[in-house]
Amino acid sequence: MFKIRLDDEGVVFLSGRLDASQIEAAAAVLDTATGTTVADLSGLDYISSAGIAVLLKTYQRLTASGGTLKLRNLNQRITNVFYYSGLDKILTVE
Amino acid sequence: MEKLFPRTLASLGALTEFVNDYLAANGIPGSGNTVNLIVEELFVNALAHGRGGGENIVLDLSHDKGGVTVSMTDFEVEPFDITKAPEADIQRSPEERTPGGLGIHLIRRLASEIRYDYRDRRSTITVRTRPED
Repeated sequence: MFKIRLDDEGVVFLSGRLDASQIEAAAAVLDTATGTTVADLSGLDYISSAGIAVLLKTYQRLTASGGTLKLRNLNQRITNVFYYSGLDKILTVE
Repeated sequence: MEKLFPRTLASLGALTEFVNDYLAANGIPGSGNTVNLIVEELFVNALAHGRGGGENIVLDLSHDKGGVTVSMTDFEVEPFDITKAPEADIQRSPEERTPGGLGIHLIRRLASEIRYDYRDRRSTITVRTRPED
């Protein structure tokens, strides 16, 4: 089950499985993020190309307005998918 | 082992359950992330490119010592040979990238072999996985 929430300090917590059927739920929260936003992926078990795309879209929107999206607490499986996608070095990973 | 799945994104949960049950029953749960990722990307690709398309898509799983083989068959569709799809440009900066289009790239990255067969308006993609890191 996928869950996402944005806390008062601008940190977005994602958990569960971010697959193509959860993109609308993810975008509904990510689209409200502003400035420099941290996405904490410590609870995320799985991500597909659709999940990568929604995070990339958020990164592009935030950087276009002077902010950015930083990722933190990726497990090895999630890190691998970012690596395979060529985004492990260029999206800021804490 | 094969099973029919309705042609809708809502099938992803059932696909995952089917994959996990198969891997657990055969003592290979460590391949779950790779196999689930390949299955989702193939299924989503079928929804996106399987113009026409019947009501259901068939997923068939098998395995041997070298890994798991995923085979997905789509019926009443126009041909779409993923082995001939252009490479995704993953060298561009994130600002320049177009979100999306990574699915086939990920399949290629996770596969040791990909085969495509099209006959009688039936499209079958077979992907043999690499062992998971």
